[in-house]
Amino acid sequence: MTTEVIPTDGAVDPGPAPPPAVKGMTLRAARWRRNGTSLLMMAPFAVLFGVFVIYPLVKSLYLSFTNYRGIKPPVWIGLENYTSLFGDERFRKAMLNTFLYVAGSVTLTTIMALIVAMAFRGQSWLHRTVRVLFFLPSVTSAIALNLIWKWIFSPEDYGMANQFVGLFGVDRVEWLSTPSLAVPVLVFMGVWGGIGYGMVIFVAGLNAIPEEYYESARMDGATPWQQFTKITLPLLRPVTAYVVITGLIGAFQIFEAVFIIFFRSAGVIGGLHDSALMIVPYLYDQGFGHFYLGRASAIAWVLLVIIFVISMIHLRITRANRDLT
Amino acid sequence: MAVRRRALLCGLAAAALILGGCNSSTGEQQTSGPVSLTMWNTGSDEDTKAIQKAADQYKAAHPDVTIKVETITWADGNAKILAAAQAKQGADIITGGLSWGIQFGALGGMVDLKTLGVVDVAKSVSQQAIWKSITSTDGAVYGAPFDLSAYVLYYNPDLFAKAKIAGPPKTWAELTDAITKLKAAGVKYPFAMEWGNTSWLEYFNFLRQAGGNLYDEGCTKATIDSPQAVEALRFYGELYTKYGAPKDAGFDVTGGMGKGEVAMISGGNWLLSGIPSTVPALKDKLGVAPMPAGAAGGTTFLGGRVIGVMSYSKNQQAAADFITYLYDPAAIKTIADTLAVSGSLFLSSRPDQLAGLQAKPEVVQTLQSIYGTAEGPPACPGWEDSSSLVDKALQKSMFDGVAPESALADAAKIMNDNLKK
Repeated sequence: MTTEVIPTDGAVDPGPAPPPAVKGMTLRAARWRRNGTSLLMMAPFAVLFGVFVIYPLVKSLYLSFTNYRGIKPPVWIGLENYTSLFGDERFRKAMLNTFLYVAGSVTLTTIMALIVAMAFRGQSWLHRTVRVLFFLPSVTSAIALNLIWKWIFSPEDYGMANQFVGLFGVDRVEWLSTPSLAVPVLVFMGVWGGIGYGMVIFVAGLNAIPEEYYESARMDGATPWQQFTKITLPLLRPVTAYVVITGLIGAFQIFEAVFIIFFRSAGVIGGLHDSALMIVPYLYDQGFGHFYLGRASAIAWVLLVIIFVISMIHLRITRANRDLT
Repeated sequence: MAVRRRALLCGLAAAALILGGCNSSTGEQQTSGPVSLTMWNTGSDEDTKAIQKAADQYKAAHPDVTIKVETITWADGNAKILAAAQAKQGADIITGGLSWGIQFGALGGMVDLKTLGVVDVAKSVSQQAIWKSITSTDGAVYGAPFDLSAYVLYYNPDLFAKAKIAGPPKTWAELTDAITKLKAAGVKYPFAMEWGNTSWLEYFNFLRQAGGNLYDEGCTKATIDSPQAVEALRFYGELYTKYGAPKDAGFDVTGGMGKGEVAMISGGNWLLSGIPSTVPALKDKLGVAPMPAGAAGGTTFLGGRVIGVMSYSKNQQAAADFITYLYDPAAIKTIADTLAVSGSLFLSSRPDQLAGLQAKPEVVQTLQSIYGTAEGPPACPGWEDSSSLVDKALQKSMFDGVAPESALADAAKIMNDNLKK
């Protein structure tokens, strides 16, 4: 162990606000004196973060290269879990469904949230009430919401969706067992539930744009559309990037809706013909339905890479990275 | 140095705290003294209450043994038992799906009940065909049959009378004939399938009735692509596409029967109590019968739950002794009578105990008839991994227009690949 002694001849620049070093005190002791309290206060968080975040992450990365079924020790199999995934028809279906869902729900949620935010950005009683109403799904239990949706899309005549389409003379629809409707139904639910959150962020972004820009534009004869496209949208770019990226991450992780609404029986996940199978439900199916925990870990890492890559691409495209920093 | 030592001690203390919570049991057997057993019952709270009553009776005769029965749900029971097996902590006894014994046994999580004397007692008294489904390929039995689930045909006699149908259909031809007549009489859904709707479970009935099977006798290859299997899938598919059976898993069959919209239901035995409790008007007149037979007979699928001992349990023999007690007519009667109070029927794996059910004679007679021919799922290697893929193959044929021959050839390939793994 090396023991450095702080020179006392004044040759070292003390830098900004150094602690009053005691003559002859070791550098290590001085550092401890300066940072010890902070480190001790951080320690509980650091321990919990290490145990519950870092360790599981590293362990799941290791498990993704093993054949691990939960009880017997894992057996190293290299990349086999990853290579087998891409030959797996169900995984490909889950990927396709997830990408369709993400594209549909994130695009529509962002557009709708912006529209609602622009319509109800004021401080009047009406605007505030409408914003609260739109935000309610974000603070309601996902389980409760999905159970209600399941009821709404019930195939019987009393299902609210069937009653609604019945008003237009449309015959009863088996919403949840018609494969072509599965992803659109999930997108509809996702958009309904996500508008409120995006709206709140957009309202904050809109209200941060100085009114003078619009006044100046109006004086120059800019139309409302020109004001929107030349002022609002560019200045909302960082906010939009945030809404889109958080939306992407959330959409890729869709689970409860598939698990609850398209539940057919224990051990069968993903709806009729896997029409609603998504990546996370498939991960659950492989990990906790069939106990392929190594394979499930590989799916989790594939999902992480997909989200990371898409988020990076989005940030680059919108050039929002610079704006955000 | 002192600081470093203190930090090291703090680190060790934290690690000890964390690891203390992950104490791993070695599974050493407790040989004497009072025994406390925990049983996880995958099912309902009513079931748990009934089993607890039998456990309390057992304690009266065995004062040293205390058993606590807890409910775990079907939705997450499998994962919870896996987590317990991994941590080597949790229940001593579990009940769960028929395949769970083989599944957890293969992973080393459950004990072969042959070594604990359960099989000697249970096998001689319980429904015989089910043993093929719960015996591993190496001959081990990790889960003994606890109760059984059977397919029953339910029908509304009023709608039958309206359509001038004399009685429940006994053959496939009579079934489609009845559907046609009921449709003509204005019944919205003449036939609905409840248990395993659009899945291999319901298909299994038609497959066996047509003379086919999922695998050959020795589990050496899949036989789901046989001509009989094709015929069965064609018939199964037509029940949806031609005869209008609802394909949504959430379709309310009992409510539909109550409203006079559904005339016949192919469903699990739980509807014996489920329909009368949902539709009191049908309580005294609900018709029940075995499923219509095909050219090769009336075999239907037999499900249920197994009961077994976890390998980490320190009281394996005590747990096994309690399981053996559950085959005693007195224990079966206690469970059945307790469940009867809430309107449920307990279908023990013992056919000779069906006569004691608190049910109408025709119900008991129907169940006895079903027990005589029903068969459980295959215990062939890889079936657990294949079943959901087989579902998709069947659905491709039924709803995507893929020829049954082609869909079943795909299913056979999947099953054969998994058989070899």
